[in-house]
Amino acid sequence: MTRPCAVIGVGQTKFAAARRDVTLAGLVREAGQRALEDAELDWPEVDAVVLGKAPDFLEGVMSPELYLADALGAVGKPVYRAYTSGSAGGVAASVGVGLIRSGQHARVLVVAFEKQSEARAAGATLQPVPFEAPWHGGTGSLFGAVCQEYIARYKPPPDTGDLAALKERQNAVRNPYAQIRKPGITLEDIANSRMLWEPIRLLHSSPSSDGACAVVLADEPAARRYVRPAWVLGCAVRSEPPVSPKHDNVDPRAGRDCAAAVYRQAGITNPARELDVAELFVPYSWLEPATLENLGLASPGEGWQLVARGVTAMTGALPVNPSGGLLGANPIGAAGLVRLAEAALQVRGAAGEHQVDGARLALGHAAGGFSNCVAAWIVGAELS
Amino acid sequence: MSGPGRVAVTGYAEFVAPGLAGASDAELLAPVVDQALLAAGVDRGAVGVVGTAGFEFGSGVIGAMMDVLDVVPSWPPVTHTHLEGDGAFAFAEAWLRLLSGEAEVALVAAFSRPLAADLDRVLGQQLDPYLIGPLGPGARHIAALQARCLLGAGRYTERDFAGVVSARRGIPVDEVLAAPYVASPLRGLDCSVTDCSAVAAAVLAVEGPFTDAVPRPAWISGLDQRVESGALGLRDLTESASTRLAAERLGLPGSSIDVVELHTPYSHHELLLLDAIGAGKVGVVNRSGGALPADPLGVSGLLRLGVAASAVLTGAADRAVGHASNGPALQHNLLCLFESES
Repeated sequence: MTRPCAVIGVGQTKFAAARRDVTLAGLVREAGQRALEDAELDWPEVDAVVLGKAPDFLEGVMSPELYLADALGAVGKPVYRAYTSGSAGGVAASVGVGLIRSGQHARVLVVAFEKQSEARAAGATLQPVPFEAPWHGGTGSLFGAVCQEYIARYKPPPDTGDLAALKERQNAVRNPYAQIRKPGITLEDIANSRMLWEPIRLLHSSPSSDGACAVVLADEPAARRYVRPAWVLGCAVRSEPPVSPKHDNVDPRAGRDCAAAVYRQAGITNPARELDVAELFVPYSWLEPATLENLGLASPGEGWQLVARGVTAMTGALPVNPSGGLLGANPIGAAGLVRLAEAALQVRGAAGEHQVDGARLALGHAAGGFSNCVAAWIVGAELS
Repeated sequence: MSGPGRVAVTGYAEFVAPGLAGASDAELLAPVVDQALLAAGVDRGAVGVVGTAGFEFGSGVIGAMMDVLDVVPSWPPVTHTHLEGDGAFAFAEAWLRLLSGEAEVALVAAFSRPLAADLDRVLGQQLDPYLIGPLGPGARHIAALQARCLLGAGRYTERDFAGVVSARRGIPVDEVLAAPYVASPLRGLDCSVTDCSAVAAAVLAVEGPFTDAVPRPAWISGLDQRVESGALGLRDLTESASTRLAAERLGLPGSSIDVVELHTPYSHHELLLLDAIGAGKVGVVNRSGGALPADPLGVSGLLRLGVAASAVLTGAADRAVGHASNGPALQHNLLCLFESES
């Protein structure tokens, strides 16, 4: 780790299936404005801007940092674009952290967005890739197969996906920004919802969302002015080829290595014990056990047991996704940044109704593609 | 709090061919990546940061970047990021990551094959999608508007534009002026050739054993990039304000530069950019011929940086500047200063 970096502001939009009240520019502005207000800064005080989103194709706006330069307050400043599939929001944060750690800038605004109501993500991901064997499936059918593989390996009880989903959906009720909030939802509602991609049911799945998220990052002198900055103690990105004999869809090495890298940077040796809370990229509840194992929070085959025992519930030893996670909202390109931002809110004690009491150390995680592109950070209430 | 030391380019390779080449992006990329690593004397296993770049609007398929993970160093998993954009901006990100201490060696690779669609119209998708895009201007129309502003302000004449074309394409000025307009005042020869396939790959290393491995590393003594407003009406199109800002940050105005390599989709951009950089003395401009004869989408900027770095690596220059641009009428500009010793 070179120069220290901290989160001094977080902003999110209200997530919705269709935010017809704003343009793309209005959406990113809303998140950016809230993050700056949280940091008590004005737009001119930002040195550089990073914009993350999933492929340009989704909304059909090429190089969106150009059209959005004004809304992002980036005119006359450096603007960086981050992509790398569904982990885009996490990758954007890592570029922002790089701008601070390298000593290039003192205050950086990182914004990520997706406006799925002006996009066709489901259709777009169904497109055949030229020169590859045709894959006539979208992300749901891919992850359905991944969950089947997990089931074949570890024989979790059939209600694992229901339990994981119930926990996320109950948490989302306490998150004012969440799109899907179902007070009073029951395990039966989830277990009886429509089967989409076996074993994944409708209520195991994340929705299609519009929304943006922003964080303000600062170097140590700038961050020391704040009462409760969230110090970025570790930050890493790892990717691996998605179609390779070495790629394990259930436990991709990119995820394992990325987690190991951020734990090492943060001096964490027993993450399951040391972390107070984790915000993980789980687009389908059935993936929670595999994700816990991949990130070293459970041993192989143990992930479903943590879910069954309620360890990852709000009242458990390691709450996962107090915000409701992706089941609350999935604005693709922004979703990864939301996880990282929520982790920062937790260690700042600013998560409101979904605050984990006394959280001091948190993991934020983003994944994309065939879970082969992973970004993560560790944030803490203290610098060391 | 000591960070890593300086960063230099230690290896570079490129491939540019007219029309469609290679069966896939990955096939085109593989040999060039190997050449760049060989030139830098670096094993694939030593590469800790990989930046790939290209526009998926080029291949027409979402996630096309996943394919190229097969040919860049990627196992065990590395810090790989893919940029939808020009490789020069991925180069900036890799430079940052090295300065942040993420790794000792980075590889940046950009790839492009010609579009099935009309690139000029596709680039119109970079405009405001609600108010301007639907009017249907192509990139060329916006460039013509800028050229018209420059003529109207009395900054340059059409003969000045033709002078640039003549220098880069080796065609007599009068012959250029005799060609018909495609978007007045621009002639076809004023517009860069985009129908090409290309790959550029650069190896960057932190000062130490990896920079000792080559006789003349091209030290990055400064890199800056700036963006301008997305509203054309809010910009002074007769200036490149973002380039001027970046040049000031790098201390270029009034200085002496041996080689300047500019990413100029249109002839008038060269005049505008040289003016904005404001160097006191420039040796060679667009040593490679520049972007007019070959301007592959997503690669062209990294090619310019690569050519500038190569001039230092090979001893042709001690101080070279590479430039990359993106967006309508040079909206977003990047400058990188390479020096033999800094």
